[in-house]
Amino acid sequence: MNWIVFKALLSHWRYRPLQLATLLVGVALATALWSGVQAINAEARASYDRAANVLEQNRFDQLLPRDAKGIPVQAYARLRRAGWNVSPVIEGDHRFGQLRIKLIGIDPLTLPEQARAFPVSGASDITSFIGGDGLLVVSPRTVERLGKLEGMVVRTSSDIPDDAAFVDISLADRLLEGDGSLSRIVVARDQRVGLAPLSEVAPELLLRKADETPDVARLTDSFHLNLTAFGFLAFVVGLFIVYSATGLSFEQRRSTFRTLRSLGVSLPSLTLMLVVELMLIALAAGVIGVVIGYFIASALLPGVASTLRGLYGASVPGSLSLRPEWWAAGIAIAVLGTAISSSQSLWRVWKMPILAAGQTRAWARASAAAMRLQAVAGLVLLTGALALVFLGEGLASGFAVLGGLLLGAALLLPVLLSAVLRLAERISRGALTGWFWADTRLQLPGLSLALMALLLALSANIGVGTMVSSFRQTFLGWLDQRLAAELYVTARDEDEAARLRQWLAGRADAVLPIWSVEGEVLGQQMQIFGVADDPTYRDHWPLITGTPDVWDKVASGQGALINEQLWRGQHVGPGDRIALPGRWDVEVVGIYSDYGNPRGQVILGLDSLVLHYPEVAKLRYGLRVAPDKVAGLKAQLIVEFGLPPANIVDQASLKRQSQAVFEQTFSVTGALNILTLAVAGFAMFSSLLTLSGIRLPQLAPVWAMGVRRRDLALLEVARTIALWLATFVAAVPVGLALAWVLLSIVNVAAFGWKLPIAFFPLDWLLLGGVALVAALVSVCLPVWRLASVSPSDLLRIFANER
Amino acid sequence: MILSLRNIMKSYSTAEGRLEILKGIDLDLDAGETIALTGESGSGKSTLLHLAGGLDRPDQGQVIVGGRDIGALDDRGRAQYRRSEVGLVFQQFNLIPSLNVAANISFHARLADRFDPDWEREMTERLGLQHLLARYPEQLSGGQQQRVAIGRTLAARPRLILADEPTGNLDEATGDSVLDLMLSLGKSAGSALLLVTHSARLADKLDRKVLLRGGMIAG
Repeated sequence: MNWIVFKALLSHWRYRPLQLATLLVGVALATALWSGVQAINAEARASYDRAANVLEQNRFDQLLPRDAKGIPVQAYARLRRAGWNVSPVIEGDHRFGQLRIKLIGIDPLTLPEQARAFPVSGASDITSFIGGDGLLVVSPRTVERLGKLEGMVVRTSSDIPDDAAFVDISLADRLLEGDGSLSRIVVARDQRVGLAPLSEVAPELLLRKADETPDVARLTDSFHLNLTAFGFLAFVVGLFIVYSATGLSFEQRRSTFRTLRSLGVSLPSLTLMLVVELMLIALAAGVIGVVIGYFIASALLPGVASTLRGLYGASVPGSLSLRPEWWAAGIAIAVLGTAISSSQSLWRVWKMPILAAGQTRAWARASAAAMRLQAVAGLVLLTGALALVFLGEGLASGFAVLGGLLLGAALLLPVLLSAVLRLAERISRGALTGWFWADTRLQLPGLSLALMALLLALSANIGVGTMVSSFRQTFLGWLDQRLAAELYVTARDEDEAARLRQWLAGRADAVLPIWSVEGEVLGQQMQIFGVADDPTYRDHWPLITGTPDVWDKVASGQGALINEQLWRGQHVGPGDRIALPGRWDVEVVGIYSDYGNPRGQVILGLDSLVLHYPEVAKLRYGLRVAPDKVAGLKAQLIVEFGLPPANIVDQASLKRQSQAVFEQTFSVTGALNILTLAVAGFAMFSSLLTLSGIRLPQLAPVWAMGVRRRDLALLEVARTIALWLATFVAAVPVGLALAWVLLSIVNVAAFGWKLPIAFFPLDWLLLGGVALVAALVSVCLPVWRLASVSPSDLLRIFANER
Repeated sequence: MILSLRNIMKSYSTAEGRLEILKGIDLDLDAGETIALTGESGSGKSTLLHLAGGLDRPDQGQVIVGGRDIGALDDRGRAQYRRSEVGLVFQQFNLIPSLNVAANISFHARLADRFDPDWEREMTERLGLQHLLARYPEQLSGGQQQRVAIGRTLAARPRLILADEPTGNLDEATGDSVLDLMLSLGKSAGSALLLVTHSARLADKLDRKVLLRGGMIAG
């Protein structure tokens, strides 16, 4: 590579610093949003892995109880006697003050070493773990939150997830007030040969193979896919900027390329130097992008963490750790993105004849053939998406529909705009109006990428906004139905619960038990609730479908309700029978909506629940009282039973909490929406700025014929508004189609529930207003440049001796 | 008198300091008269044309058109002057790339509110452009483009046509035919013409020749 030649090539940027800035910002933004989202995903996944490995020991086979009763210790003893190398676990949630901790009680003597999340190096360690008052091993963060615990020794291990504690199994049983029953049994990998099969030794237990669990990572896949899709969208929009900037810089240097080649620089050498130049820019912008990405991820991660906690109960730390592989991946994506978006320009240089003239304006023109090709590609993508709507299935298919819809619509946009502008030109009467439309059409190829980016951002905003607002409307209506009781009270133990029932008898209009057990139904672990036969349920419970006598059948124990997730996921509906834990089955008589719950759920009549699961905890109740008596009853409950405030929640507070969780869930999506729109705004700005640099020869004749610079500048603003308006109008149906796909295909596949679509035109207007402001801001600098261009610059266009 | 230039002086700032282009020019042009402005490169021909066209302002002196000093007008006034009273033809053609030939030709006339379809039809035929009306500038040869530029100027029937090397990009035969057309159509429209040219042969076709040298009239 010749250094002198390379310097000559680089000198272009000295004269075009703004173009260089645009290119750097384009690559940096694309990298930032992509790597930011990847960082969030990587952090969350690392957290799931740690949790799964440490808490559930899911790298080992496990034996689970078939019902909610737990595993009798005799079963464990039988397994040990039969020679099986197994280890018992007792686990459950326990409150230390205000903090709820997942206790995992283990037996350090039998637990396989790889399953331990903390080092136990010798006899003294084991003694301190199993002996004394009790030893808790927790994460450093949990120690801070726990504070000082009376009569307990706390040790830390960084491998343990937050809000979890390892304790000795006997301590866990004591703290959880158990009866010695085991939660599960871990099966070590090393076993003696010739042992009797597990199914013979403990037929009452269920074997779950290693890594087979429907763990939180799988549940949250759709959420992360969503984030990735947004990151990718922003990345594509960023690449549009890069494509536009490299395209122009190459066109502007055509005469330089021609001169260099005529001076003896070979084509491979020239191309190599351009590649090196681009890679240097990509590396510099990549580093900037990764740094910005880190800040974006850091800002978004707390929101993501609480979303994941709210939606899936998944614990993810709210802070980001710096991972070298993330830096490398970010810079690699910057280089790759730059390579992709500049490949066409490089190809043109490679194919450029040595005597090709510099044609700056040619960059802004697209041939009719290219436009036709774009239209065909757009139609093919839209048709493919439509076909997938009818023929496809699953989450991947849903996202393919989304991709096809968005990309197809984006490709068709310039074609449609061109047709509309041609029509406007044809029907316009004035000379200036006709020129305005014709000139706008001429600018279209140069602006089309920015307009496509704007369409993508606006559609995504409208689509996701409609989805969230539809969800909110449905969710709030559903909450009103579902949270019909005025007060929810939880007793601390069975004795207190019994006293509570007795005390409430004359004081509440109705006392509705909210009792549930955990069990496996249709191969999935889920909650089984019992409901009282009460008008509260008959009148309010949000049923999607059901047999005419649905509540009678539930009350009499002849039928069960299942939630929408189970209905859609397992294809069981009214009339089908489902097997329930304890080896009995029941007919499904109705389906109810159950938003926000990732798992299946079953509802039985209360008597039926107690009959089949007599050990069910009878701690929680919904109370029906007149609204004006709620505060008084709440105060009485506190005085009478000394219940902590957390155990008595009124309906309004519960709704507020639920709504807060809901809003938090979509705050990250909202932030990504705004960022994508900002990137699209920058794409518009860079395209307008680029075009303003090559506009003078097109505008000078009009100025010479008596149109003032100020009027030309105003026409530029009007052009931007016209294009923005057209793009916005196109974005509304695309966004609504996107919302429909999200609500009817992606949500069903990802979460198991389907939502009705609702329209919020005021939200669109607001978005349109924001986008208009962004468009106007983006046109400010180019218009100011045009309005203040000196007559001598315009005259230079006409000068013979240029 | 259609155009009267009085003691016109103009200079530009350059890296080397102030460069005086015009150093006191006096020139009169009668209605319907044609003048060839000749001189070496850098003698100030184009600058003088730009000042007469209201595209630029003189440092000193007056550009009087129809009794008004164009140089004293504000931006709006000069734009109105260019729109309604003057027609400009350039060497680079400077057509509007987004408009087809028909729209390019009628553009200035419509802006000036003097669009006359009969006159335009006649002129288009005489310029030999009737078969090219639907084409765009990039689809035309240089000669065709210059004929469109002349058509655009003449369609508006301005009182004054200012032409800066209109045949400079054309071969001799095409250049001759284009200039002949311009002179003939200009006469039909009753327009005066101030034409900048390097070519003595073309200058001979006009009523009068003015030679610029060193920013002053040399003859």
